[in-house]
Amino acid sequence: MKLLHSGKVRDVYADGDDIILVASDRVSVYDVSLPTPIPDKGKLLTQLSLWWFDRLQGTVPNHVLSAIDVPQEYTGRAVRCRRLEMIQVECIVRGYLAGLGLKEYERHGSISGVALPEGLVEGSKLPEPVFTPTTKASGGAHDEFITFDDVSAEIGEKPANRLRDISLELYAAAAPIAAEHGIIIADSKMEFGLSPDGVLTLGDELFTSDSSRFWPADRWEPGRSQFSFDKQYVRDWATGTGWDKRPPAPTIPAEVVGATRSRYIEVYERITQKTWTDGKVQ
Amino acid sequence: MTDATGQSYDPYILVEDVVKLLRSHGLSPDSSPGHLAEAAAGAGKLLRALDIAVAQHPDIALRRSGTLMWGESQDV
Repeated sequence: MKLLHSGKVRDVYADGDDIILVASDRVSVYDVSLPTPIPDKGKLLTQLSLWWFDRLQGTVPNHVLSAIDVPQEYTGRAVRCRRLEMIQVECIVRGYLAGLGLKEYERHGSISGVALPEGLVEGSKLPEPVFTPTTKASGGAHDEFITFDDVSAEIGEKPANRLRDISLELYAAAAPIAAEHGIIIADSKMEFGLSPDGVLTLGDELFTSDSSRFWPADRWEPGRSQFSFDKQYVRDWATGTGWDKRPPAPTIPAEVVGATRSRYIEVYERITQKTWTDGKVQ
Repeated sequence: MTDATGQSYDPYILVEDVVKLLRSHGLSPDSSPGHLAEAAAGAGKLLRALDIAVAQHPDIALRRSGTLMWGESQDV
């Protein structure tokens, strides 16, 4: 097994024709890795992603080959995957207004060229989920919103239609499942590629706290920043320390680590309805 | 999205190539943020018109993988 790349949050290995994705416990904010890991974060996100891949496999094939046939030391946090030729569009579906989508709306009244009604505020539910793709540059450039017409120009009309339809379909299938357990999937990013036999295949991860915004439905209140089941707690703490957002990042105190880990566990347990005990799925 | 002839190219790399080419001709293309979406669309269209499929090299895709999380892109 050869290490191909060590990212901020995930390591990628090649094993023959397959790829092994290993999710770490690392956490980063403002594009800087923090020195303190969040115990079990990699396992929690991997298991949640696998749960969604399994649950939604009828919608579109995915890249997962096995979560068992992986090196023992990475059990629980690794997935053996097909190697895909990736499509260069970040497929984002938004059901609610937040983050860069909110900023784009405030500037233009639209996101990725999709016009939205006037008067929406942070956290507003959109009239219907919208497909708001971004670029996926090869280098270090930040992703930019791209209109659907530009996606069609870039990759072709038919593939663009498929990406949009499948992304919306996945969101439409997942959102009610999460809602059943009191979780709002505000938005989510999906990535697709083509398998060696040319089949459109869902890659990366699916509906995790790293690829989606999860909000507790009972605390949702448009017009303010939402309580979030992700690293928002770490981000808020880091901001509060007065850190200048440049490396080296400060060490995360134990109570912040504990609270962040609890949020990852809570979202896993609420969505899957399984119990997480000491890093093991029950 | 490799085509039947197996030829493919990354539209974002093509944009970078064109910027370099234009600079070598003494021009000053504006490649600042805000231009990428339209440029990538144009590059993809050009490639497909030339029967070259648009694709991201797997190694480049893997370098991106796990590098930037969705929430993180919202930090920016």
